[in-house]
This record gives sequence, C-alpha cells and structure tokens, in this order.
Amino acid sequence: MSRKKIDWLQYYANPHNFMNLAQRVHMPLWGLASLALAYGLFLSFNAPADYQQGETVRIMFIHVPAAWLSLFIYSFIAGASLLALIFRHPLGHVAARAAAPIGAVFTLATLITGSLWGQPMWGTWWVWDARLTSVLVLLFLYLGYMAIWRAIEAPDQAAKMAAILALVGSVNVPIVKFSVDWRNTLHQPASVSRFARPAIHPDILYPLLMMGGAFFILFFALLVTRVQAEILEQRLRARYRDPADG
Amino acid sequence: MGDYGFYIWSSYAVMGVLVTGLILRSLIRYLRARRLVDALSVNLSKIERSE
Repeated sequence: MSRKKIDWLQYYANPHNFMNLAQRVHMPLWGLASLALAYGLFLSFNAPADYQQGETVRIMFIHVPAAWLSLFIYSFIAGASLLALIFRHPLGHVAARAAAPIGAVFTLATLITGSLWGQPMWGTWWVWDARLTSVLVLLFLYLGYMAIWRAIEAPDQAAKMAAILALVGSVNVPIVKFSVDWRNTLHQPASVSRFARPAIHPDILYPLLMMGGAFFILFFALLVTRVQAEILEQRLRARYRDPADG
Repeated sequence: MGDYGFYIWSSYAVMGVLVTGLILRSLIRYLRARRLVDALSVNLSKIERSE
C-alpha cells in the first residue's frame, strides 16, 4: 500500500475527522440518492417490455441492482474487517457493522423479488439451484454477522469474532457470482458484465444501470448516516461509562 | 402490466417497504444520537461555566 493511501487511512482513523467529512457529504448524498432513484424509477416504468420476459422485465430493474449491492456490501464488510484487523483502523469495525443491516435488507429484497419474477417466468417460486442457494447462504452470513455483534457483550471480542466470520464468509461471494458459470442452473448467466458483446438492448440496459447507480448512492448515504450514528452512540456510551463523570 | 401486474407491483412494494424501513430506522437512530450528544454537550458546558 502506498504512503499516500496509508496517510489518508490514518487521517480518517480519527472519528473527529470522519465526522467532519460525513457532515459535509451527508445531505448532498441523500439529495443525489433521491434524484437518482426518482429518475431510475421513471426510466424503469417507461422502458419497453422485453421480447421474452414481457412486462416482468421491470422486476429486473430492482432485482439485479439489489443483487449487485448485496454482493458489494458483503465484500465491503470483509474489506473493512480486514482493514480493522491488520491496520487496527478504528472505523473499520464501525463501518462493517453499519453496513451489515443494509446488506441483509438488499439480500432479502433480492430473494423476494427474484421469487416474484421466478413464479411467472419459471413456473416456480423457488428452486434449490446453485445461485439461489448461495444467495440464501449470503443472507444467513449477514444475519450471523449481526447476531455476533448482539450476542457478545465485550465490543472488542465481538468485533474480532464478527470480522473473522466476515472474512471466512467472503468465500461465498465468488461462489454466488460464478455459480451460474460453474453449475448448470435455472438462473440465467451474467448478461450485463459482458461489455465485449452486450446481451441486453440499450432500452433495457440504461434503466438497469441507472437503478444500479441509484442503489449504490443510496447505500453510501445510508452508510454515512449509520456510521455517524454509531460514532455518536459510542461517544455517549464512553461518557456514561467514565466514572469521572459520575 | 397485463397478467403480470401482481408480480411487478408486489416486487416494487416489497422493495419500497424494506428500503423505506431501513432509511427511516437509520435516520431516526442518527437524529436521536445527535440530539442526545448535543444536549449532553450543552449541559456539560453549562456545568463547566458554573464551576
């Protein structure tokens, strides 16, 4: 890691510096997320019906970005946990803990919207194929991660145990991503990431990318808000624990 | 939306409920913590001034 990157990491290791930055970007992020979501929804409902899926393609505009986000957030949690374990970055555990419920919600949304798309298209709500099962495992990993934070009272021990689970569970991320290539599944293979030979018509691709961008901005708005709340709560806990303050 | 309206609207409704719930919980938690910290800071500065 370069010297400049380490300096940047050290600067924001100070919660005071992070709070200063967060307070500046907080409202613009929420504003941007609202605008992006509104425009994404407008595009989603004005896109033409797909020649195979018909109108149900509109479910893809929320299902696919939610699935991207569920994988991205778990990778983020694993990365932040690694940063906290190796560099003892104090915001690493805080950011990972703040991101977990967001990831769990988007993973649950992925499973439910996928099921609502599967019934009319595949004729079934659920199949135990590699993609669907590995996403269900991802949801359990999120729930397990959150349960560790709740179950262990000592914060340092909880942080370490949760970070270890996040790192071990990160093995599941490539399994989710490549399950459709490695195994013969009912779920279709990746189509958006094939930039060399696009498999999606631009009329469908643009709303999908817009909603994807909107979901990612929403994630960062939620993350900044939740990290700020966590830091403020830590300050309160520290204040009440300190015997000097009575 | 034709025959698939139920599936499409259910998907958007589920996503809307989940995401709105997450946003509200996050904002309420932040605002509550912010208010408590601000109140505590004001009280502490009053105590310090009186001392």
